[in-house]
Amino acid sequence: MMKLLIILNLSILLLLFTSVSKKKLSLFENLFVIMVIELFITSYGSVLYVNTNSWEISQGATSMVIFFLFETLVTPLLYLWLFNFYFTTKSVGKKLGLSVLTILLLLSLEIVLVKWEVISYAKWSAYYSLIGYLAILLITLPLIVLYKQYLQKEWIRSK
Amino acid sequence: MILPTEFDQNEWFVILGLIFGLFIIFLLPNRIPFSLVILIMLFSATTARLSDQLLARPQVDFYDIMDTEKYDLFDFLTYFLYAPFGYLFIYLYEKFQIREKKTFLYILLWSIFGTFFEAICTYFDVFQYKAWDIRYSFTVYLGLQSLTLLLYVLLKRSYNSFCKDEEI
Repeated sequence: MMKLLIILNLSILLLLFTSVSKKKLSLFENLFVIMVIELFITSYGSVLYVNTNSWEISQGATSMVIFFLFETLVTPLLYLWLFNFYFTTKSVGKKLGLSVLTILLLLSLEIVLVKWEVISYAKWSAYYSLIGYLAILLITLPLIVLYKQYLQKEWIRSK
Repeated sequence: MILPTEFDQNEWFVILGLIFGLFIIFLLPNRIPFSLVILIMLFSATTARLSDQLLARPQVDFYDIMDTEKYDLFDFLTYFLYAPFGYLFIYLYEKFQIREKKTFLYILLWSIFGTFFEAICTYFDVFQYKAWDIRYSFTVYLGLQSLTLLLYVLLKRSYNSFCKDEEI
């Protein structure tokens, strides 16, 4: 129960912090990021624990809620923060550093879930997850760039 | 992502539904800015994905999507069937200038239509119910349609405050 409370508190705080803080991307861009990430991250998860059985999610309501919060709230919000900083930083080094930091943070949280026995790896290792999070980042990035460009064109056109 | 075990009526239903959906999007005159249309369509697909993630995941398993319990390519494509559905919902809301009390009736009618659309999907084996009933879907649509409209109203307000010259 303590584990559930920790992840629940973390999710609520992260959600609150995201809602009240001033973001670098516009409302439209933020919504686009969160929805694309939701689609990709939940699909990635389903491939791992439904199709290939590389992950096993523990039975029981507590584990299910913990994993659901991690998958659908914590992970997308962390990516959202990454993209908010990513597009305001000019330096390539900083962009790279931020991306590495976010991926490591996501991986650390995933490892915590493994330690808590919410997820158990079968035919899987944390290194693969590293590649998985990087792949999601690399697939999402061009989509966001395209949407940003389209949005700029449309808003400039309407001015 | 795995491919379907058999390419039969449910896969054809999804393919034809997607083509029909795209046809509707391109056929209707532009009434809403495309940046907003993208978000509404994405919202419809994402909420469908999240609902299934919550209700059809192995630990809950109220129903299966397409041929197997696995997450196959056509499961993913099914979510994009809902994208034109969301667009049409907003498009008609703007076209007929539905406001105030009419909104209540509009959401109610679309929830009935959504449930009917799901019944057709079920007939074509897109969804295979285990512990689910079509009546429950009505409640899901009622909630999701209201959320879609709420999101649209908020986005429209934001768009209008940014592009004052070209108000929707």
